[in-house]
Amino acid sequence: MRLFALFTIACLSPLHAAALGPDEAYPDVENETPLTEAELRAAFTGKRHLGSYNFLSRGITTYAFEETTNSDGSLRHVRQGHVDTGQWEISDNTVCYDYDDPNLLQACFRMYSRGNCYYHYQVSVEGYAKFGFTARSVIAGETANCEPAYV
Amino acid sequence: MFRPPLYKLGTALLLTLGLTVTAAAQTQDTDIRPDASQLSGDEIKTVFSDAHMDGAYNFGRNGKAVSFYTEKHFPDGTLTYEEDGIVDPGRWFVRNDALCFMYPSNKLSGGCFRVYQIKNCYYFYTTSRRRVPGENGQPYWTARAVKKGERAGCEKAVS
Repeated sequence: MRLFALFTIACLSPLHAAALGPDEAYPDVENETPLTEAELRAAFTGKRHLGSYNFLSRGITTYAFEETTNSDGSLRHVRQGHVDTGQWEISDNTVCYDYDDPNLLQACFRMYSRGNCYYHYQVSVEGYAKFGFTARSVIAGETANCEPAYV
Repeated sequence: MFRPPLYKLGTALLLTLGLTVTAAAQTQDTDIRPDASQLSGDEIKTVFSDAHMDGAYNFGRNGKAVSFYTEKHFPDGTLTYEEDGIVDPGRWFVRNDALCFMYPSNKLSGGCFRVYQIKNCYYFYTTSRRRVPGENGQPYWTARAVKKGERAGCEKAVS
């Protein structure tokens, strides 16, 4: 999953305008267990995910993205028509992404599931899952059953 | 709603060293809860949805804050956090009677907070077990806010 290195800016377009802010369905990273390596391999190896970012980045006006994490360790990320390539791996119960674009940071994520949705929580330098999730996704071809289902 | 918890570590250190708190100064280790009412999840939604809050943290031993922020909570769950002229986006939601924040910025750590009210003031106690040892469940609040334009009427109530 692409992590923009420097610039994440304010954009207030609502993801789910009908919702009144609260979403108690979000994973609780302090009290829930992230996916194991075996579960991560099943969910990501050779799979294409369709997802939405939680926030926008500079110059990007859409939340939607798709990312293919190939069995050979290569990846392809597409957002707003822009394609990035790179490498990915599973390590220590995290999924790590390393893009060819030097402006994009390498980052690792713990994954929490809600229904068939995967919530991507970046791991801090201290090794904790950051409180807010960066994105959520489903395997291409599936219909998201997490709430609110805007993936 | 706040920056990384360095200031909290500082306060925790002061507490550890046993520095005294004057009765009149409302510092972050002043346990305001006996004088306050805790907001339920529904009450949090009512108060914070579409609310523009002026907040303060990093209170000194004299009870005066040295760090200030404003936060706009929009009904769709988005927010803007402004401090020192820098505006960051974010999201807010309610979970288990706590107000929760997510930010994309690595400068802001986010998290969930129980909200206590005294008059027109709202005090935030973290629910996190990780932030500062002993903070969770202890008489230690992270920040205090009032709705924009209001004058805090709470300090004398808990001195």
